[in-house]
Amino acid sequence: MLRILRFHINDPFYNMAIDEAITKCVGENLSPPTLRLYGWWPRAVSIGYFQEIKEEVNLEFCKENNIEVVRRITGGGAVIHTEGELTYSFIVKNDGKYVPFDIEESYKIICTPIINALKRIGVNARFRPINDIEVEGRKISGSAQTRKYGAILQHGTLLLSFDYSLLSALKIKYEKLADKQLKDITKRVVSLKDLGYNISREEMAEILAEEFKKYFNVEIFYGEINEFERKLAMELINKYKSYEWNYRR
Amino acid sequence: MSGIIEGDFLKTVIRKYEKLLKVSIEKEGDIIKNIRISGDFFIYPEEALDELEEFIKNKSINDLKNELEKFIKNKNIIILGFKINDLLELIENA
Repeated sequence: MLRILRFHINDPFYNMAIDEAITKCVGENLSPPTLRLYGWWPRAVSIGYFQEIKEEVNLEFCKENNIEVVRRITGGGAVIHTEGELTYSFIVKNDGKYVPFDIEESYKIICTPIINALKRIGVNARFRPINDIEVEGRKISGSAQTRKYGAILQHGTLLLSFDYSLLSALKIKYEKLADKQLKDITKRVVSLKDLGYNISREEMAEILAEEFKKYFNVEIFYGEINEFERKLAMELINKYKSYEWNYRR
Repeated sequence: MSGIIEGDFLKTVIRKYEKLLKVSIEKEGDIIKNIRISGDFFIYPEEALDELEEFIKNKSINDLKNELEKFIKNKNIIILGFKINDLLELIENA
């Protein structure tokens, strides 16, 4: 049985804390396999585990625009999380049952129901290794995966709409492209709204849940965060708010 | 695309492979005294990057060419986004 945590909005630090808490609880058999669907408020930039915060994030712009910054436990690149984005996390035991042990292959596997959900609404999306989903060569979804506590966590984004002016929150470090940074990035990214699809995050979340059910051939139930997860998340939130964590690189 | 940035005591080299790899390095002759590796790649387990940096410190580039691959294999470290030779190339060029 796959537990679905319905679309909900949380602050950035809690979002990262609850993803890690669920991962630990799934690994320790305290929680079932889970698909969590969520949004972020306030807006935030999340940076990859291996990124240098000062190199990636325009901290001044973020401060001026009330954009929080948080480091993920997963690798990958910096992401701007706004109200135009649906975020998912898929968490299962690392036992080969749902997801193969091969990491590269597993990105493709977990992205497949997301691609199927996009196809279902009429968007011809395809997987682009290592961790992206594209439409006509433009990125609409990016994911990042970690394996720890005996579990696999893959979380990622799906762009429903995007305010491109918020790209100023990121420092695109390709210095040679700096003068045409915005132009280049907008050519590489696309949202459902850009493609003419107006769909709410709640609707898209329901479709994703159905497609995960179909693809993994598993029964689903709509559940809640359990007490183990809640308690652990409340402990972990301090890490995600800390200078030591966010500025570790 | 690549670039070299001089700053503080570290020399930094950035290059886009499958993912972006940035190496900041301090050398004394052929010996790597300090190194910091960052970027939007993936390493499993994530904590292995700290070990990798420690392993590289105080080694010569020639030593690394012989030992880095073995270290990564023995530790079961999986890297997605760049290859070991890419890292060696950046270290050598820094």
